[in-house]
Amino acid sequence: MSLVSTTFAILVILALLIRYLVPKPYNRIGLLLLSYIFVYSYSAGSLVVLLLISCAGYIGQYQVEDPGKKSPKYTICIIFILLLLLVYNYFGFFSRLIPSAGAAYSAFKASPFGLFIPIGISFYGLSVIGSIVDSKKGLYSEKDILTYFLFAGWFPQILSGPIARARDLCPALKDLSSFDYDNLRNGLIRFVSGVFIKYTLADVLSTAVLTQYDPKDVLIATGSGLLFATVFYTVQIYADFVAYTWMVRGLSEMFGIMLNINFNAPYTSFSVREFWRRWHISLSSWLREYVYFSLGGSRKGTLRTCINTLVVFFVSGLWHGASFNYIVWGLLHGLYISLEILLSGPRKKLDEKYPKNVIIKGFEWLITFCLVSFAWIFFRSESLNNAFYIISKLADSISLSEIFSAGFFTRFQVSNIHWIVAAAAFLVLVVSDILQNLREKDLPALIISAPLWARIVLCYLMVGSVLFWGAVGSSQFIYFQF
Amino acid sequence: MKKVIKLICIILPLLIFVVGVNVYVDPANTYRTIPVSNKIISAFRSDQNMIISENYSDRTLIKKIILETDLSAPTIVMGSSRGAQISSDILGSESLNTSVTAAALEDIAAIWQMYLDSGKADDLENVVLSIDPWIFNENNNEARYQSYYYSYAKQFFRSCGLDLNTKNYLRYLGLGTNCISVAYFQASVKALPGRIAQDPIELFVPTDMPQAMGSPVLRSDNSYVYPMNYEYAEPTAVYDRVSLALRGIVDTFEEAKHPSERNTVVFENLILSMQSKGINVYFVISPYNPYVWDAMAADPKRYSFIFEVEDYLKDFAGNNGIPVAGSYDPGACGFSYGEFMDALHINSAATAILIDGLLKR
Repeated sequence: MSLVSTTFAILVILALLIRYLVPKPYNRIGLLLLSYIFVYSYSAGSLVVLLLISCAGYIGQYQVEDPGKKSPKYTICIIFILLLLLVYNYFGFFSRLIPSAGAAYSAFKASPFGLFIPIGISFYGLSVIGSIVDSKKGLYSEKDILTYFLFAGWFPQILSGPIARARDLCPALKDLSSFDYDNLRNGLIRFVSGVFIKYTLADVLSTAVLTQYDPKDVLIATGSGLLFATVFYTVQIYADFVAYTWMVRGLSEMFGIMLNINFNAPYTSFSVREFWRRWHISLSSWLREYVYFSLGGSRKGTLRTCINTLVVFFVSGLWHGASFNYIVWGLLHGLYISLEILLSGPRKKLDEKYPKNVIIKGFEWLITFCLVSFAWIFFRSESLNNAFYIISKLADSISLSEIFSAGFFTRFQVSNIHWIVAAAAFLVLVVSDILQNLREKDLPALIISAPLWARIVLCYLMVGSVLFWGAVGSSQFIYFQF
Repeated sequence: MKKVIKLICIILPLLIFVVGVNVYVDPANTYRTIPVSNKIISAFRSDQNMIISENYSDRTLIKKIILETDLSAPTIVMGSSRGAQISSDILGSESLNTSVTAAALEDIAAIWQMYLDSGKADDLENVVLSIDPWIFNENNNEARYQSYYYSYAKQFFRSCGLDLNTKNYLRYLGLGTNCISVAYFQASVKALPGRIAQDPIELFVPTDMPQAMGSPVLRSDNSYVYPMNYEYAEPTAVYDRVSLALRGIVDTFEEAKHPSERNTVVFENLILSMQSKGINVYFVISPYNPYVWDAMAADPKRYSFIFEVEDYLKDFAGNNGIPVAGSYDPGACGFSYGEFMDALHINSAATAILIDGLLKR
C-alpha cells in the first residue's frame, strides 16, 4: 500500500476519525488495529513477525527490578529479535557465502515462514532493541502494553522509520485525548510538501538514473552520462528520503504526535562527520548510542576510535542490505571519517589560521559532496562489478564536448516539462536546506509560518505540480527496501 | 470545528476538480460504457471483415458481444494482443477471439464470468488461453481491466470461495476509487482533448480484404490482422520497435520474483471451473522476440519470474491434462528474428505454425 494511494488515504481518514472521535482508551485500540491492518495488507507473515518482536520488546523492556541488576531477559530478548533480523535480512546472503548453509536456506524459503519478507523489520526491530537497552540503562520503561505495541507498530513510520525511541514516542502515544486544529493543518502541509518533492523531483531523477545505471544500459553508457547520473542519484536519494520523512512526520503530526527530524540539510556539510550528524539522524544516533558508545566510542585513543568508527559503518552498511555493495559503501564512509579523525589536527590549525575563508570552506564543501557522491555509486549499483565498471568509465571517458553537445540530456529519457518542474523542485529543496541552516526552518515549517493566503497558494501550487507533472507511480521509496 | 470546516472548504474544490476530470474523461471507461456501433455486430453476423480505427474500445466490444448479442462459437480464444491473431482458420474450428489489449488476469477472469452470466459457457467446447507472464504479477501496472471491474470481482470472490479477507477488501476499496487517483488524473488530462472531440472515433469499414496496408482488420471471428506495413516491416524497423519497447516489457514483471500466490489461486480456479463444465482447455505460450529473450536469458537471476511462470504453467497443464503450444523462448518454438513484428508479437505465419493442430491434441 503506497503512502500516496486511495486505500492509504481512506486508512488515514479512518484513523483520524478514530483518534479524535472515539473516547480514550478505545481510540488507541482502534489505532493499533488499523496499524495491524496496514501491516497485514503487505502479508499476514509481516504481522506475525511484528507481533513476535513487539512481545519480545515488551517483555525485554518491562521494568520490574532495579535497572542496574543483571537479568538474562534483556539479552535473551535482544538475541531473539536479532535472530529474526538475521534470518529475514541476511540468511540468503550468508547462504550464498557459505555453501553448507544453502540447503538450510532452501528449506527455510520453502517453509511458511520463508514465503514473505516482513515489512519494516529493519526499522521497528532497531526501535524495539533500543527500548530494551534504554530500559536496561534505567532511562525509560513502558508498562502499558497497548502503548508499547502501538509504539512498535505505529503505522505512519513502520515502513521506513524514522527509528523511534520509546522514551520519545510512548508518552505522546499515551496522550491522545485533545484535538488541536493546528496539528492537523501543519501535518497536512508537511505531508503535501513531501508528496511534492517525491513526485516532482525524486521520481523524475529516478528515471534519469535508471537509464544509465540499469545493468542493461550501463554497458553502453558513457562516462559523462554516468557522471550526471551519479550526481542525479545523490540528489534523488536525499529528495526521496527527505520527502518520505516529511510525509511521515506530517502524518504523525495530524494525530498530534511529533516525530524528531531525520535530516538537517546534509548536503550543506563541510565534512563527512558533519554529513552523518545531518543524514538519517535517527539511524546514525541509534548506531552512535547503542553500537559506537558500547564499543568505547572515542575514549580509548585515536586508533581505537578509528576501528570503532569502521565497525559502526560496517554495521550501518549491513543494516542497509545484505550485499557487498552496502558493506563497501559503509566502510567507505568509515574510512572517510577515520581519515578526518587522523587529519583533524592540521585541519583545525588551517581553520584557525583562515577562519571563515570562503575558498577553503567552498573547497571543503566540494570535497565532502564528491566523497559522498562517490560512495553512492556503490549504494546504487546492482553489483560490485557494476560499481567498479562505472568508476572505471568515470575515470577514463568523461568528455566535455559530449556534455555540451546538443541532445546530451535526451539519453535520460525525461521530458522537457519534467526537467523544468524537477529543477524548480530542486531549487525549493536547496532554499529549504539553506533556511534550515540559517533559521532552523525547513520548507514545511516555512509554509506553516506563512500567512493564510500564501499557505493556500503554495499548497495548491505543490499539489497542482504533482497532479499535472508528477512522476506518479514510477517507483517506491528507496528506503522501503531496507 | 469552524477551522476544520474552513480546511475542508479549501481542500474540497481541488478534490471536486480531480474527481470531475477523472469521471468526465474516464480513459479506462470505468464509469461509463462507450456505445459500440451495431455496424460491427451486423458485419460479424454476415461474416464480413472490418477495417477498424486503432483506438476502438476492444473491451466494450467483447462485453457487448458476450452479454448483449447471441453471437457465439464452440471455441473461444482468450488473452492479450499476443493471442489476438488466432483465428478460426488457424484453429480449424469456428471460434470467437475475445483477446483484449494488455490483458491482465482480471480481464480473463471477467470475460469468463460474463460467459457464465450469459449462459453461453454451457455451449462452449474449447477455450484456447494465450497466457502472458505478467498475468501472474499482481503489480503489473495494468488498469484497463477496470471497465470489467464488476464481472472480475464476482469471479474473484467466487474463485476465493467468497473469502472476503481484509487484504482483498482493501484492494477493492482501492480499485473502485479511480476517480480520486492522481495517476488516473494524469491519464485523463492526456486523453482530455480526445474526449472533448468525442474521440475515439469508431471507424468500421466493411471489407472483403483479408489484410489492409495501413490499418488493422478485424475478422468476423473478432481475430485481429495487423496492417501489412507493420507485419512486413524492414528488420531495422522491427529492431527499432524492440528497442523502444524493451524497458516497458520487462517492467511488467521485473519487480516480481515469483508468480503471485493470489493470481495463481485465481488462475487455477478459473481453469478448473472451465474444465468442470466439460470444456477442453488449451494453453498457448507465445514467444518473445529473440532480442528480448536474449536480454532476459543473459540475466536469469534477475528475470527468474518469466522462467518460473513457464515452468509453473507446464507443470499445471501436465497435471490437469491441458495441451500446451509454444514457449516464451523463441528458440524452443523454432523461431528467429524474422518471425517477429516487434518485441512481443509473432507474424501470422508464425502464429499458424505455433497453433498448428492444437485442438487435435
